[in-house]
Amino acid sequence: MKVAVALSAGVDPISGRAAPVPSEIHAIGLAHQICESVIGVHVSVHAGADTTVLRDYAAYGLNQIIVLEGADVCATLSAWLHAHPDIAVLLTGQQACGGQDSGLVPFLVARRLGWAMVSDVAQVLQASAGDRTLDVLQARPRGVRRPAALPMPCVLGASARTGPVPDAVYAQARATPIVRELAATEAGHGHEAGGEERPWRARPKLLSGQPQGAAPAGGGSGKVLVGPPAAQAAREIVDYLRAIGLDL
Amino acid sequence: MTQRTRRNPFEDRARRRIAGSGRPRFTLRPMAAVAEVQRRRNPRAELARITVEGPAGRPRLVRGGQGGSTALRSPAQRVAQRIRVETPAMLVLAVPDLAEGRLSRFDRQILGAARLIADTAQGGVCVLCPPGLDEQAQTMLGDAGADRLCILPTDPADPERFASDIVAWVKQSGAAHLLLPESPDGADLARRVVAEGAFDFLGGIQAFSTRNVIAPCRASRRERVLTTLPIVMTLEEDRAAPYAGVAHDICQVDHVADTGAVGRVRLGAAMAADPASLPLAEAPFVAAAGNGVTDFTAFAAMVRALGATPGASRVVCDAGLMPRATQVGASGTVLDAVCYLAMGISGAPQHLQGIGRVEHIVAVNTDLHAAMIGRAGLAIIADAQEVMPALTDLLNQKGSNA
Ligand SMILES: Cc1cc2nc3c(=O)[nH]c(=O)nc-3n(C[C@H](O)[C@H](O)[C@H](O)COP(=O)(O)OP(=O)(O)OC[C@H]3O[C@@H](n4cnc5c(N)ncnc54)[C@H](O)[C@@H]3O)c2cc1C
Repeated sequence: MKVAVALSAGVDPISGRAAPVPSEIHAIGLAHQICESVIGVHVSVHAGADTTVLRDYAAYGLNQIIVLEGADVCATLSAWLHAHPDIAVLLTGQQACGGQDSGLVPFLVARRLGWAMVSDVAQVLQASAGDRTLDVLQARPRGVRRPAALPMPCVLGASARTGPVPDAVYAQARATPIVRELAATEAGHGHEAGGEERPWRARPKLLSGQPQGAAPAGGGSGKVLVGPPAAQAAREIVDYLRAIGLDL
Repeated sequence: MTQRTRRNPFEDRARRRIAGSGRPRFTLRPMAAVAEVQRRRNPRAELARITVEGPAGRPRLVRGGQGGSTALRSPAQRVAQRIRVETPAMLVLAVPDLAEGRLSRFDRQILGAARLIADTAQGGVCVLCPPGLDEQAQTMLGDAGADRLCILPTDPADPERFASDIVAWVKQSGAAHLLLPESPDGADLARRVVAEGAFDFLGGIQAFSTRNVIAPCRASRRERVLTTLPIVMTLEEDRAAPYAGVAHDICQVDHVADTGAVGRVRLGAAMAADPASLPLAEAPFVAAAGNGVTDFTAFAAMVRALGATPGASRVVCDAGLMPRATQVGASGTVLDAVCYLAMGISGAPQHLQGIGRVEHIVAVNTDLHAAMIGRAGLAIIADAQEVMPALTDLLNQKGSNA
């Protein structure tokens, strides 16, 4: 069984320099959980993409990196996967960091190929080549995990928040062959984001993140007990925690 | 009403104006003031006319002619006052998460944004929801600004099916927009819908108005501005205000027929993680020790009994009493917890930064004037060394009883 990891030319949000996208590193980790032979696929939309980032990705354990040249990421990627029927799983990050950053690409590729898709994957539990199914765990906020089962071939989107991070090995980064391939072209999807692009301006959130429940909003005072006996204090705490819905 | 003669300065000025084009010119010739007898406004009577008692018993002012009449209303009439949009000129669909059947703050914001778009064109807001919503939940949706419901026959464990039901309904109802929260489930669903229906899309919107929507792109170093709203939009949390106007009435409930189609992806039941080994940033309930804690054996026992994830202030980590990974705050971990139990923590600004998003805080401190006490929903002014064993005992005893 072969799996492919889709790599993007990431940009560090702080420095603006080329850097791997964390969720794509998680995707490489997930690929290792599925099988041993992992191919990285990189679609370079602009010819002559920065290969130093690809070397950074390679350090996390990629057997080979194929650079596809095409105008449309989805079209090129799905055409390449069409031509390689031995690839059962495509792993992607959650969202690019440096491009449109819409998080749409894995869904569009899955749609084009007619593959199943699960996003936000934190762990691969089991990949059975026999009946061609995958069992994965989806990351949910606050450490909650949700199991998901889907048939192969499929697209898995790695979670940005948590996920396996393989060791980065410098020797591996140097050893991985990077091959350029001219991809068969398919028509684009017409998913061009319109509108105007301009420099980023941080905007404050409309409402403060302050609670509107039992806790006071904006630093007002809640219930204060001065010098209660320890037993009473303990009971008050337990009652409060139960009242806000904790299962003690 | 008085019979006093009053001058109307606007009228005086208009009479002084010399007719002609171009720059306005006025004559300074003295003129006889025109005496007028006018009624004066009675602001109190006007106020009384538009005052309506709100749902929480608070008076509110209703402008735009829908307000109360001069006669006082009976309580029953007051309750019944809801806006009805029977024949909307356009439809805005909203898909709140409705986790556990509850409308969260985020869900209300999504409905608020949908209401805002709908109100620009006398439109209606239609909420897509799974079956099994009771009467109370419907009223709640109406309060949040919904006019219609569309019940989808969808199993929440089947995201592919849910997405295709939504696409079908968007096409069938001819809705202008579809709004979803950029929450884990909402983000996934929105992208499935966009891929299947090939709709225009802008995700993760951080500035929302009816004139334009803005979302970050290129590693949040640039932003994309769309001046015509796309069909499908997902909003980040706290980027739109929840609807706060007069409640709407649910005028229509549509049921989509079950086609029996089944998607390929099956989702299981969510499982909570083991709190002790959970990364701090993901933990739902954190109990933290500060400089006021000296008995760390008792602290560890209490954390275990509570089923919490252990945290600490920087002083404690610097002293090597707790591992560095447990540090909460600006130079440690920023929490995403629901509840935070602070034992002997003063609440330095750097520490409070780490708990800015936490909803419920319990503080135990000997100092009544500590900053943490001001931030807490429940504050106990007592010695942590005495409270911790008492709490452990109480929980263990209850556990053995249950
Ligand atoms: C650049 C910078 C970054 C920092 N980043 C962080 C950070 O990320 N996280 C962080 O925590 N700090 C951080 N700090 C340190 C921060 O400013 C405070 O020094 C620290 O948070 C104080 O920790 P504390 O509340 O545990 O200790 P103290 O301030 O010493 O408070 C101890 C509290 O315990 C109470 N107390 C004492 N005895 C008892 C008792 N027996 N029972 C109950 N209560 C008792 C006291 O009344 C007091 O309120 C940072 C500081 C700097 C300069």
